[in-house]
Amino acid sequence: MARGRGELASQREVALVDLVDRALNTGVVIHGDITISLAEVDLVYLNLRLLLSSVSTVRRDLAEALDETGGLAR
Amino acid sequence: MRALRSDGLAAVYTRHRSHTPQVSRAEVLAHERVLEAVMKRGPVLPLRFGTQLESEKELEEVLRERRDALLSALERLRGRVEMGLRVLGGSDGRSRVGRGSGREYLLGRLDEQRRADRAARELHEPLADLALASALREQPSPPAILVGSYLIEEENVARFRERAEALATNQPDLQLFVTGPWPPYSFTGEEASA
Repeated sequence: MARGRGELASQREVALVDLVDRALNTGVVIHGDITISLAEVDLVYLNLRLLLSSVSTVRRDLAEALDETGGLAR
Repeated sequence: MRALRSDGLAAVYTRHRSHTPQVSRAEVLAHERVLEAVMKRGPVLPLRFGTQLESEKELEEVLRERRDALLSALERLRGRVEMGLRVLGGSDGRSRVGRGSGREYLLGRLDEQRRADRAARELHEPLADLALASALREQPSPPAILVGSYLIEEENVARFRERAEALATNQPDLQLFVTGPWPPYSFTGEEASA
């Protein structure tokens, strides 16, 4: 993940955040009940702290995960 | 992957015995790749990640019940793709907590709001003008100050990117990222407002 100096993110990182954001927050909903689990170490966006803003449960879990790990070393 | 066909519609899916979808890079990328593959052959409506049904029978019922709405949503998307804009430059939201006085906090929030409003005017609106439809996230999480989605004709991707790059030159304190083209995640007709 190549970030330039002073850059908050790289293009690749942002593309992945945008993808996760879209996959979780958009799309046709067939019924209200969706169960997903969070992979602990495979989420680049935890490193960036670009938290998803409209899925409140995911946000809470991510915030807790961040507090526990003190941010992910990557 | 399988396809279930029903009266002009097709649903693409996989079967599992029992499976909790995991929000990992691998699974989200797999979700995206299926959409891109299907998109090569015609318009596609993404489903929410993690959607699961009990059986093909249930899937058939969904297609039957929603046929008209799904068909019109698909027609509206023919030849169209989604572009994303993410503008970074806000402070890290977490560093705000517990620091300084209440007044400082409020002034900081006011400042952030001004930046967001300015970004909406100077970045989102010109890009929305190029698009058939657009959506602006109401409360992006820091360091993002603006998160936008734009539905455009596929042949306008380069033009959209050029416009965003030109707009970026007027914002030296912000980092703009254009992403896409995406399948039309944000424009399936499910969204409450555009």
